[in-house]
Amino acid sequence: MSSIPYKRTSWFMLVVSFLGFLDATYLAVKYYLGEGLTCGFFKGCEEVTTSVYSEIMGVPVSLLGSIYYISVFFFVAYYLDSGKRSSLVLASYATITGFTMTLYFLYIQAFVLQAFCVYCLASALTSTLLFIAGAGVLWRSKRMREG
Amino acid sequence: MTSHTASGSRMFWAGIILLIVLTVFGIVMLVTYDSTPNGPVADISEGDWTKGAKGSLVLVEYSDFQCPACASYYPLVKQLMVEYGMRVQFVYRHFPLSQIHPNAASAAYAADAAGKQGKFWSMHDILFEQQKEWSARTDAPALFEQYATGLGLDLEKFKKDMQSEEVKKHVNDNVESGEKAGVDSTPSFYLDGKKIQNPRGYAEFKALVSSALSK
Repeated sequence: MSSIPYKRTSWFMLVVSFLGFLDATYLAVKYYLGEGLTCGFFKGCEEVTTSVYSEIMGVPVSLLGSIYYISVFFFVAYYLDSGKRSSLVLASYATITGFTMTLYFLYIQAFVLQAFCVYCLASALTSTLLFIAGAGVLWRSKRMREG
Repeated sequence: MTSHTASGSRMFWAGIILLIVLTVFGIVMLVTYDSTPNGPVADISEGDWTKGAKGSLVLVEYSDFQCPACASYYPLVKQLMVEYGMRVQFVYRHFPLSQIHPNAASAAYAADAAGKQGKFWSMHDILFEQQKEWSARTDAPALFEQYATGLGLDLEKFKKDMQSEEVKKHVNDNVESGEKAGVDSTPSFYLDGKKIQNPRGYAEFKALVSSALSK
């Protein structure tokens, strides 16, 4: 088979999930290895990344995000390599979870903390793009099965 | 697609693994590389606020009274001086981040004004301990006057000194010296003349100091 369906979408998801991985990993590494607390000139980032909402059961959210993005990345990469549709579908369902978390964190930043962190907003963007792509895959796949 | 050939597939995966590994490595390097200049920090001068043993290991802090991070280091430094006050000299220098902390400069003036009446460190302590009370207030100076009264200071002299050119100059001089030494965030600590990465807790701080003392 020389061509698989959803090829463009898959490459798009591969690139975007990698960008999300870069962003989340940077925050996660900074959390574990970066220097201790400071008040820099960018108030938002510190406030958000040191808030109580930046951890879930002691695990920094950035690490969870990093794991999420790299998982999506690998599922999509596996699809591109093997053509197994189930892998792409799984990745697409995962983007729903990612998007839901994005909405939650946007809500926290906007209404609870009233502070925004630019890295978190970047992740919101990649997560949303992945969701749009994933939803597109699920929608088209459903139509193909019915049609 | 890529699994036309088994080796094509292997190369695809090898490339991906390599990409991930290089990326994570690059990020770790980026985060741990200290990109801000490291000093040298200005020597202790007559006008500096210091405590502890003179002529020994020097710990300088550039700090902002309205900065929450600085408030969280306040008890650490205090404990450090309890343990090492006989062998370490601590220097406090002002570095108010006025763009994000509107009451910071005023708090710095208040501390210096209290210092003119011999109570710099007492006011310094109160400012950090009560940080949440005065930080967001537009009438913060009124609270500072209350603290001054509570410390038994001459209120009229305190108010006058808070507005004085001399106090403003000292704070500005501190900021200038901080900028020269590469201060870009607060708190910034200089141990034995060199900027240190802010320790992530008391244990790390203590380890840094005791290691510097044993040199």
